[in-house]
Amino acid sequence: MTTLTTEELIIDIPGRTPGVPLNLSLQPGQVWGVLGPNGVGKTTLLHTLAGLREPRSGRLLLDGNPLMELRRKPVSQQMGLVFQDRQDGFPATALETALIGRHPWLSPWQMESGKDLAIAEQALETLDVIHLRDRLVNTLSGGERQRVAIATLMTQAPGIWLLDEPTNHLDLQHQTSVMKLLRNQAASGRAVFMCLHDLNLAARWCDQILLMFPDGQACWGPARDMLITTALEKLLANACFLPSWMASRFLCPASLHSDHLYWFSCSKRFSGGIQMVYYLMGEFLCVQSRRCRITSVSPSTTRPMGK
Amino acid sequence: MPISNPLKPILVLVLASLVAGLLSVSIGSSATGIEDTLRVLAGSGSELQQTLILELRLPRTLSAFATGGLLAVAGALMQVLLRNPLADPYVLGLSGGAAVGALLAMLAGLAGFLVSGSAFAGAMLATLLVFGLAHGSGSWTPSRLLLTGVVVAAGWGAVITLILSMTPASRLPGMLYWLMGDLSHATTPWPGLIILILVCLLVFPLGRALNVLARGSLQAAALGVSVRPLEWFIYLMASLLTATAVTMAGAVGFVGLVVPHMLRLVLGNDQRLILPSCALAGGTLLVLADTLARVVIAPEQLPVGVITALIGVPTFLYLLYRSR
Repeated sequence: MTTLTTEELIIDIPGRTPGVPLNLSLQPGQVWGVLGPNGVGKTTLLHTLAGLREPRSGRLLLDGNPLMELRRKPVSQQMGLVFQDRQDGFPATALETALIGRHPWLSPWQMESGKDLAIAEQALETLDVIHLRDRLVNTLSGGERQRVAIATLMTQAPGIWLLDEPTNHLDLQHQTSVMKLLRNQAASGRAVFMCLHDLNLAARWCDQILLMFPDGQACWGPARDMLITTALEKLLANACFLPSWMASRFLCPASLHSDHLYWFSCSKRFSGGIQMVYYLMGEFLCVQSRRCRITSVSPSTTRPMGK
Repeated sequence: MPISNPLKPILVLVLASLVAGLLSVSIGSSATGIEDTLRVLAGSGSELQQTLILELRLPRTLSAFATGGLLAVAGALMQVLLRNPLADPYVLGLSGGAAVGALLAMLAGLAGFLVSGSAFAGAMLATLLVFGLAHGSGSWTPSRLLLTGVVVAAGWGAVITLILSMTPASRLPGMLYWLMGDLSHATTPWPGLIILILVCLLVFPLGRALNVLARGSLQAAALGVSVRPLEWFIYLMASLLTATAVTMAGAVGFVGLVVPHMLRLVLGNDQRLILPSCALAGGTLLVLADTLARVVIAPEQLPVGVITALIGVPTFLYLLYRSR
C-alpha cells in the first residue's frame, strides 16, 4: 500500500507568511484528522498533498518518488480526494458520478465494463445511496451528494484517501457510518487523511492528529498526545473548560439516552490516559478532563483557561 | 448509463443524415425523383441530371453537412471546456473575428478563396486574442475565459457594424448574407469534411477524460486527467472547427448551441456518445435547413442561418419543456 511523506513542506497561501514546515508521514492503516479554525489552510494543505497545488517549498514523496514529477494518472490510482465543493454544470446521475472514479483505471479507448459498474454500485450501496442511482445529483440533498462524492472516491479505490470535511451535511447516523467506513478502509491498509471541524469526531475516530493554528504554527502526532487542553485552548479561542461535576451535569440529559452520541464513546476511548469529554454549546466548548484540574471554579464563575 | 446501447442512437442519426442528404439532392428548382437521384448516385441517369446532382447539389449538401457537424462538435467541446451550457463558438467571439476578416476582404473587393482565407485568419486571430487575454497572468478560469470571449465578441460586433456602415450600398447584400450564414458559395466540401472526421477521431479517445473534466478541473486532476494540456487541445480543436465552418458558410448561428443541448436532453452527457452524435445531428439539421432555404421562396434563396433558428428554437424549447 501507499505512503505519502512530506519533507519540510510549506503550503502556499498567497500573501501569508510561511508557517511551520510540515514533516508528515501518512502510513497505511492510519487515520489522520486535521483540525483548525476557518481559513487556516486545511483545504490548501489537502490540495497540496494531492499534488493539485505547488507547495511554496519542501517536497512531497509518494512511495519515495517526488509527487510533482509523477504523471497524474498513476498518482490518481494511488491517491484520491473528496472536495468540499463540487461542480455539477451538467446533469449526471449518481451512478454516472460514482463511475467516473474508474477513470484512472481505464485506458482511453476502453469503455466501462460490467465489472466497473459493479464496483460503482457496490460503493453506492456501502454509502447507502444505491436507491438514488438513477437520480440526477443536482436534485439530491447536500448530505446525499456528500455520500455520492465519497462513493466516487471509494470507486476510485486509491491507497491514500484525502477528504475535505467528509461529514459536511451528514446527519449523525451517516456521520458515524462514514467514519466507520473510513476506519475500515484504514484497517484494510489504506491511509485516510481528513479535515474535520468536530473535535468529537476527531477524538473518536482519528489515531493521528494535525493541529493547524491561526498563527501558522502546527503540531501533529498521535491523537492522545494532541487532544490535550493546552493545545485545544490555543486552537479554539472561545474554549471554556468546566470542572467535571459541572460538565457532567450539563452533559447528563443528552448522554443518558444515546450511546451513539459521541462523548460517551470518546470518554471510553481515552479512559486509559486522559479522559476528555467536550460539548459544544453555543460559543463554548466544555471540556472535562482528569488531567486538567480546575478546582477553583465555582458554579457561578466559570473562567476561560489561559488567562 | 441512461442509454443501454450506445450504437442505437448513432445508427438512427446515420440513417437520418442519409435520408436528409437524399432529400436535399433530390429537391430543388428542378425536382428529380428519389429513384432518379439514386440512379445518378449509382452512376447512371441522364447527363443533365448527373450535372445537376453531382456537380451542383451534392457538393452543396455535403458542405451543409460538414458545416453543421463542425459547428455542433465545436459547441459541444466549448461547453465542456467552459463547464457552461451557454458557451458556443459564437459567444466566444470566434465567428466575430471570422466575420471581420471576411467583411474586410469583401470591402477590399476580394472574392471567393481570398474571403474564405481572410475569414479563417480572422477566426484564428480571435482565438489567440481571447485565449491570450484570458490566460493573462497565468490563472485562467472558465468564467474568466467566457467573460473575455463575450467582451471580445461585443468588440467584433462593433467593428462589423462599422464596416457595414462604411460599405457602399451595392455591396451590402453579399455581406449581410455572409453574416447570416449562406451556403450558396460553398463549392468544395472536402476540407470541411476531412477536418470534421479528423477532429472527431482525435477527440473521441478523450471522451471519458472530457466527462471527468465536466465535473471541474480540480476533480479531473484528482482523477488523473492532465487538465491544462487537455484544455488547450480542446480549445484549439474547437477553434479549428469553428474557423473551418465559418470559412465555408459564413456565420451560421445557433447550431453550436442548440444541437449539443438537444442531444444531451435525449442522450445524457457522455461525450463519447455526444460528440459523434453532434457531428451527425448538426450535419443533418443544416442539410435540412439548407434544403428549405433553397425551396421556400424559390427561385430566391434564404440565408440558411434564418432557417436553423426557425427550426432549432421551437424544437429546443419543446425538448426543454418536456424534460422537466
